[in-house]
Amino acid sequence: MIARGTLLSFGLWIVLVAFVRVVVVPPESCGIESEERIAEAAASAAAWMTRNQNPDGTYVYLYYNESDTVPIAYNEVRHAGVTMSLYQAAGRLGDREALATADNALAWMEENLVRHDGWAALAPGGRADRPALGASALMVVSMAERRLATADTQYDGLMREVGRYLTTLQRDDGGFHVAWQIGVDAPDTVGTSRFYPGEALWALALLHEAFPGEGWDSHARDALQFVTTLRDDVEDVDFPPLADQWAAYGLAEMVEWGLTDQQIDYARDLAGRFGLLVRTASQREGSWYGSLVRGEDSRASGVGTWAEGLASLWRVAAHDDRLADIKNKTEERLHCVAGILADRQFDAEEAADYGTPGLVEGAWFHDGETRMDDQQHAFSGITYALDALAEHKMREPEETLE
Amino acid sequence: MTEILRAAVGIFATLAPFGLIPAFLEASRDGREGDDARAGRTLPLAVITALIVLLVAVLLADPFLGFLDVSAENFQAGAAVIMAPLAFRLLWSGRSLGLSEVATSRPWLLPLAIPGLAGPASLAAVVAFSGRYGEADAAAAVAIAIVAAGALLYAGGFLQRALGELAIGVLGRLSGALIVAIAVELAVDGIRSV
Repeated sequence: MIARGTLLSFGLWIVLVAFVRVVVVPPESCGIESEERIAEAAASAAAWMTRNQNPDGTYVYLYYNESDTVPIAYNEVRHAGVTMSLYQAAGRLGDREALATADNALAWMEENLVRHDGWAALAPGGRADRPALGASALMVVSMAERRLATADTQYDGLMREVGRYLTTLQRDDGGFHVAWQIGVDAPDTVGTSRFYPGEALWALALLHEAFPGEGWDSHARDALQFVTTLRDDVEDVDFPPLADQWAAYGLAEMVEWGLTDQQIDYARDLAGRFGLLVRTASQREGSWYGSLVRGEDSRASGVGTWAEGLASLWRVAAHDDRLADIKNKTEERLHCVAGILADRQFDAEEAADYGTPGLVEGAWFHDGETRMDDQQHAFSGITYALDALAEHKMREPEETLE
Repeated sequence: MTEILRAAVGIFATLAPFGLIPAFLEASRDGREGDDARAGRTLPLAVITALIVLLVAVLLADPFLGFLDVSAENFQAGAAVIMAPLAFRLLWSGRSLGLSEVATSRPWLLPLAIPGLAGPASLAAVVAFSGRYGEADAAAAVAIAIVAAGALLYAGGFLQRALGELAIGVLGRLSGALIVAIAVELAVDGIRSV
């Protein structure tokens, strides 16, 4: 006969193991495994962005599939971001339609520039007196991506002009004011932004890559120092580092310039943060109780940024031996997050059930809503994840479009 | 080498030899285990059995995690939770096994080898370190930890006479604190890893 104490002990162990399985280590699943199908998802996302451009060069910003409605709303920072992704599609996939669409969007940005004191800034409509740093930073990134995709230098002057807005807003500590207040001719010294510094950092790094010897690199280095040492404190980030894919893009651009040990440590921590987010997302996918204990799904614009960040940090690891130990794990996570995204995307068959299939196919929905940057971040994330899995270390396309 | 030593310390902590000394001394008492005790075979039999079980765990760690669909990094957090009962028992009583628990026909196997040495905590630690550092490093760490624990248990009688039961109990409780530290380190590393 088994002693009561032994039975009790055995029972407690069963409860503990069940708790660990359900709450701590629910099974993980990474959606679609086939890289070919994952690549199709990226192409489909690019097609969504291309297909859903308005005649004036803007994109469909929001769409609700249940009510089949497109609310009136827009955001110029995300406009620049989507345009950036379309230029990446032109460069990485040789997509000429994406190039043409992005050029229309760039023309809209040119029409909405504010010029002041030697600089230019993207500031549509009601924001003309206070151009947001992030919008101009991503406009620079868009033009830099266009330059990489086409080798066309026609926007070089404009890149420098908008770049000067970024340096005008840069503070002594390497951080940035969020906007210039044209009415009072002074920067906004009160507002802060979590992501604008990373966006500006990447833009400045790309400016140096495009125009070496003009001094953009010192601004980029100051910005990197701020982002890697002060930004999370300034922004009261509860669990640093902030999952900032823009900073990761910047690190990947600057790794060939040489990074300090502290910046490498930051890159390692950042990769860990993105890795944790991907592992948690894969736990949500792995079982019915995974979504209960891990909370609801993140929208594609979030998941895509994890892929973008990890892919950029993979490039850092591929170039710098100090991070060589995380390269393989980073590839695992990239395959996983790209598979999760591809699995969640609405395909043509699912799209046919909705009022406007063209606004559904190739999109990601969260509570019945898709926003243009869902497709933007998912596309860029998947594209660069596949690049990493193919051991493609350089972000630049091998051949340029004419 | 650093990684092997780090893993060895972690595994050694979960073997908690100080918490096992009273149980080993009780099981090795002349007459308790017949011929085995008289021949001094209790300790080597228990240590070798535990070594084999833990090395098998190293070899099976990867397929085990694959079977569970769990990444090694996420498992580290699970391992930390699995270590908690042993840590609490040690902190509470200073012993990982009660003296009455060794009253079995083959105490060197049950409970001294399993679960005394190769128990849920040490098995979880071995799987976690195998996922973190690789099979070869984890196997080396298991060997180092088991030899160290075996040597400590061999000297158990001397230590108990020299230090007294109270000191052994204190060292057992400190083992519990060390397991808590190892568990926290494992969980934090799992959270911070890619």
